[in-house]
Amino acid sequence: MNEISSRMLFLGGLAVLAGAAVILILFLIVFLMGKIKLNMKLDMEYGENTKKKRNNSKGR
Amino acid sequence: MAEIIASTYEVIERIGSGGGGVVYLANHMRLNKKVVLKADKRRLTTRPEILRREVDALKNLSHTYIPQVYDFFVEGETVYTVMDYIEGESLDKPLKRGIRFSQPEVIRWAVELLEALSYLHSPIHGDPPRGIVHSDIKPANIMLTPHGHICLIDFNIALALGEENVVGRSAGYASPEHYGLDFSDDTPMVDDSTEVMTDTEATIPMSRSEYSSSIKKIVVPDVRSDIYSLGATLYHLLSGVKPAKNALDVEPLSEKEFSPQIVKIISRAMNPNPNLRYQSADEMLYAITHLHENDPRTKRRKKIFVSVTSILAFFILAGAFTAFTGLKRMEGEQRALTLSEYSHNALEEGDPVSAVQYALESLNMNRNLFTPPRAPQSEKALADALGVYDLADGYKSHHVIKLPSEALKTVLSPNGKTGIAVYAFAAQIFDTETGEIKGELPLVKSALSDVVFIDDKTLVYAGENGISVYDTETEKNLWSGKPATQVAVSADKKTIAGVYRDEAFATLYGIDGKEKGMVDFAGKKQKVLQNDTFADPEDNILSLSADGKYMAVSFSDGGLIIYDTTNAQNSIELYDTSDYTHFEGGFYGRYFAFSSTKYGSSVFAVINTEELVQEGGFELDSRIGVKADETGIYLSNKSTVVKIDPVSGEQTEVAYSDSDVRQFETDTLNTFNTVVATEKNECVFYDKSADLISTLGGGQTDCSLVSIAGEYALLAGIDSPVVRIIKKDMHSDADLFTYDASYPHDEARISSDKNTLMFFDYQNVRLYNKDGKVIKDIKIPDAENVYDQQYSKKSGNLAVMYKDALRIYSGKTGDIVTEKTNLKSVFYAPYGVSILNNDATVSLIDIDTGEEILNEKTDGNYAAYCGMVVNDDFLNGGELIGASKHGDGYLFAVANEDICTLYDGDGNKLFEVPVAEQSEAFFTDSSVILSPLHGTPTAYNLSDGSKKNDLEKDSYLTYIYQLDNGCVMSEYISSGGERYAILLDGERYEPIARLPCMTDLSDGCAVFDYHKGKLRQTRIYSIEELIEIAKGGDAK
Repeated sequence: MNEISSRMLFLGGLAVLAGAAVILILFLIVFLMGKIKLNMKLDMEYGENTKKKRNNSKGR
Repeated sequence: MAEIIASTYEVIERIGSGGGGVVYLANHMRLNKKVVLKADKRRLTTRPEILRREVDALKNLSHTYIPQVYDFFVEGETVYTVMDYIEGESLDKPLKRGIRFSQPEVIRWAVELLEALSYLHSPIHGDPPRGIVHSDIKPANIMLTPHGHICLIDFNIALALGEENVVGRSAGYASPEHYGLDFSDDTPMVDDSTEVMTDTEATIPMSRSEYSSSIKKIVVPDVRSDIYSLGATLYHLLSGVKPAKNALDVEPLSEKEFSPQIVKIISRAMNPNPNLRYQSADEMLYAITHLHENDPRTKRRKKIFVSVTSILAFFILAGAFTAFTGLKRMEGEQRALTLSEYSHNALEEGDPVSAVQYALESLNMNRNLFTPPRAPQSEKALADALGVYDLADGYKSHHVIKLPSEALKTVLSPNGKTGIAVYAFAAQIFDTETGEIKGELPLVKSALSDVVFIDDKTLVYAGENGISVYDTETEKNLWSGKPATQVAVSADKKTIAGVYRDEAFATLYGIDGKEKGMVDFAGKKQKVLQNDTFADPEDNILSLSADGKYMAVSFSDGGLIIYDTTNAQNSIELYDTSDYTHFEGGFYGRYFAFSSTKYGSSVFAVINTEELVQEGGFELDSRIGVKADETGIYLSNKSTVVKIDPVSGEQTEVAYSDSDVRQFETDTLNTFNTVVATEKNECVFYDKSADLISTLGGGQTDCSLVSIAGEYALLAGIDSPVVRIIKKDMHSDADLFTYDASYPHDEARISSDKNTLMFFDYQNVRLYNKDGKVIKDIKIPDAENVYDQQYSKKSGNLAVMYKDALRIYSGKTGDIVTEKTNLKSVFYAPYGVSILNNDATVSLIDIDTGEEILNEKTDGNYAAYCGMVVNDDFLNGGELIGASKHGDGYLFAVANEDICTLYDGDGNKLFEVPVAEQSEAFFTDSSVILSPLHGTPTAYNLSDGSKKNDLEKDSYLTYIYQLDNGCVMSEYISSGGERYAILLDGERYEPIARLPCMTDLSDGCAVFDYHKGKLRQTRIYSIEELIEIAKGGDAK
């Protein structure tokens, strides 16, 4: 690691960081879009009220 | 007319009937509210308390999906239950019509049903602790309201309460437990005598073999039975097909038609083994309400999300960490460079201690991941600060004293071990060896305030409380007298004189502090500036003779009088008044020597105080400086300092500098070395023979205050608060060889066997053996035509090359080993000298043996062997500027105009790099260095021709050595003719040490020639060794 210059380390690290961050953002966008699509599909399959338990009145 | 029941309920219509009775829609006559009347005609075998319990259980139920029970009464033989009327229809009806419900719808109803069941099954609803079990869940008992919600009706509470002979099994929906079947595998086997609760209607013919796990015992439906029934109901609602009556025969729903999760939930709910079903409605409700989360697609997506984000998070963290590390390292590198600059500056300012400290900080001892590799600049800073490669004898910076304000005067004790620096308005006492401040003496607030050493430990000073004598060892004042600024001490140390500013008298004291008398100046005053706080005109004489008998005083009116301190009548008036403005002088025995200066011209004279005659003198049109003590009279004028005999006037040179002398001092008690401060702001040291010892620059300080005594000297300037302690540094322990210093030579080389040493230049060669005996003196013939000389360490031979001749001299005897003349060309490479003979053959001559190791035919007027014959044709107008062996092959460099091409030994072109005129090529294992005659040498990588670094500017590169440790030693001649070497780190070719006057490398040691008759050597230190030296506090 000593043979690699500090500048290369810094720039390389930045490049990896930036690249990974960009990929992460793109991935999140794609994932979110996919999630929305899947949720719609699941809503069609299971209906919406399966996502939450409804509160019901209880008796004495 | 409508039937009225219990005088309250008006029957509207019959809405259903079943095994338990009839169900009516009625109107509560008083409340005008529709209700459901359930008439139960079963034979009331139940005891009243059981009925009550049933009622109590039902009336307390209040849930969105369960109809409220309002009343219970008996009329005739019928038990009526009054409950909420639920609008809508039971789910069996649309099923019978063939309607298929959507999965989302069924799931929604499942949630509602499970919420109702969870409520029902809750233990708070009484006895038994398992709560209320519906026991008859089926589509017919589920109402679908117009709003699309469900309501669970028709509880078989009696069955739940354990009534006997209760029939409530709906085929297909009833769990195996309803039939008394128990498929749980953790119940013990019982024998055939166990009674099974069955009903003739519901009897399921089965054999033991069909129900391998069927147990014949009394089983009671529980909450899990409701789970089964619910599962079966959902099965029917989804598929439109009623499940098989036999739990084991139920076909699972198709996962192609329905969601696999739903299929799994229903299958589990309908597991014949109650232990394998959902154990509670809540559990099943949880499964149903988490379909999204538990969907395989969701799970898969979640897995993908987690793994991808984990990987990306790792890369982000790794990238951030790497960038942070790089940034910290870059900061560290910058800091190291800055600190190495500080070190360099401190060294320039004469503070080697601080220089070493900065250099060590620059190297950063605390090494961790964030520490950058050690910078070559840091290594160089430490090597330079430690001075490990400066083996020249001389005065060198030792310590620095930083005063609170600009220096006014400096004084050294006679032995040089204690120094005084006067500033406004105190005198700082310090140890010259350690630089430690020993004390401070408050002075009169005047720049005139004097400090004079009486002996090595005692001094007299113009203290703020009066003239005082101080003992530096006990750190105490011995006595104090009247106020004084100027002070004088007789050489016999018995008399002290003090004058206060421009008072017209001097007070005399004995060494014990007793007043011996006064000398009245009769109104005359010494020259004192109007504001003497910050400036001492240095124009005055106040001097005592060796025995204290006479006192010479100069005055502001140009007067100069020698007073007899014992007899006022005996005074010698040299000038009563004059227009001289500056006086210098002192006593040497019975002689008083002085100079008086006006308008740049000076008069010098020597007065014999016993005979009252002037012994001699002269006048010059430049300033004459005079110092006198018991050892003699010293004059300075322009660039010369001489010692003058007071009688004969004979002058002996003490120092001769190349610029005018501003100030000088001679150590007349010890070494008779002289320090001269010149107009060029240098301090030059001479030995007693007036030979130059060393020169120190003043730096930015106006270096005019000089003192010298013993091994030490002080340098300071009135414009700086810094006082430099200089120490004489001797390195005779590094002596390697002694030679005749008068022999002129440029180079000194040692053979690798160390048996011979050769000193040579282009005209002469002298060969010594290791014992210092001259083996041979050689005059090189035709010296003006010599264009190169190369020494071979292996044999000690010297090759002298001309354009058309070659002579090789033996390194053992000095005799000529080989002589070739009348040649067409001569070319030197480390592996041999190529000569082109007149017979069109090129020979390669081994320098070590003088033998011809190769001979090949060729054409042209120039040829050299570089693995192949490189002749005019190949060169095509270019010039062969260097060659070397490289592994098993050869490399050579050809310069053509401004391009240099590297070839291998087969003539294959490797790469091109720019080159300046008249360049020479040097080779190491990994680099080629092109060195122009005028310009900066540049190193290139042999692998690809990429530039490595520029080498030393403004000097001429003469040789390159590759050391075993990978470093490279580059030798230079400066523009001033000084030879030196720069040690380069092997990777980046950055300087890591400067070796002034290095002449050779021998056995890993650097050999230095200061042209003073000694060769000295020191090993090449690694950075770790330098650090150890620095930490050991041994700065030199």
